[in-house]
Amino acid sequence: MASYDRELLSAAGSLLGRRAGQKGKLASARIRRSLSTSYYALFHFLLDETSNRLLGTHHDLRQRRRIFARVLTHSGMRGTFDKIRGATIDGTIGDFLRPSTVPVGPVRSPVFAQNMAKAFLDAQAKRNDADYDLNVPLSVSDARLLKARVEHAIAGWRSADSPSERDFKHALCMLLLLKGQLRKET
Amino acid sequence: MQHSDLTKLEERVREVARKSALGRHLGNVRLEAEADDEGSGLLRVLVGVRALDEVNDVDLERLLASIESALSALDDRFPSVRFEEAA
Repeated sequence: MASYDRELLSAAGSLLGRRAGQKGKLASARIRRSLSTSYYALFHFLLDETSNRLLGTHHDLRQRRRIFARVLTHSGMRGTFDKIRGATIDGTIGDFLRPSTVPVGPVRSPVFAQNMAKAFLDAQAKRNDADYDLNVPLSVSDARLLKARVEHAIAGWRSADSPSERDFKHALCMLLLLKGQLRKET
Repeated sequence: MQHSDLTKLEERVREVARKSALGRHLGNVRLEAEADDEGSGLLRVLVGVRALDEVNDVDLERLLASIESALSALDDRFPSVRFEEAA
């Protein structure tokens, strides 16, 4: 059975499809629905990742994972990803994500995490415009590119599987739960 | 928080786009800044491209990545790049 994020990405692609011989501009509603659906594919992928990593993947825990996933928020994810999208991680969370092999100095954001962060921030911005601001133009190209970007970010995240990458993902999932905020040490 | 002047950022986007594979298709470039409730914010970057339906998605992806990279070096707000058919 396909995961929910894959089902949503498939739906996002179908919305942009044309029947044989169909010409003219694609309906704006299809473009906007596709953008919104690609965002939700990424959002649900991150819900699954966070609940699987923090609670465990056993089938018996499915109900608990779904309850837990409701705690995660769109703005909390945005706040977290905004802090790791650059090459160097924001100083307020750097030490929390610091690998044991880098005891001092700035903490680098792994490329798979940068790509995930930028894809999320872009998808959320476009989804907000797609759903709430009809004055903002959005094209079929925007929708196609976003779907491809989300697919690429998910594939990159899945293939990052070294011990240090798994450790980073685990800590990042905790930060997603904490909305990217840590108590400041004095 | 580093926020640069929008006119300067627009000029940077034009410069990046002109040098890209889509340089000859380039139309208008517009930037809009939007603050969110938590004080971070967003740069909405609208790039006009002539014959948008006919250009290669790979070229658009490369241009999008180049614009994001160029603007992120100048401004802390996340740049969300969109393409529209140039008038």
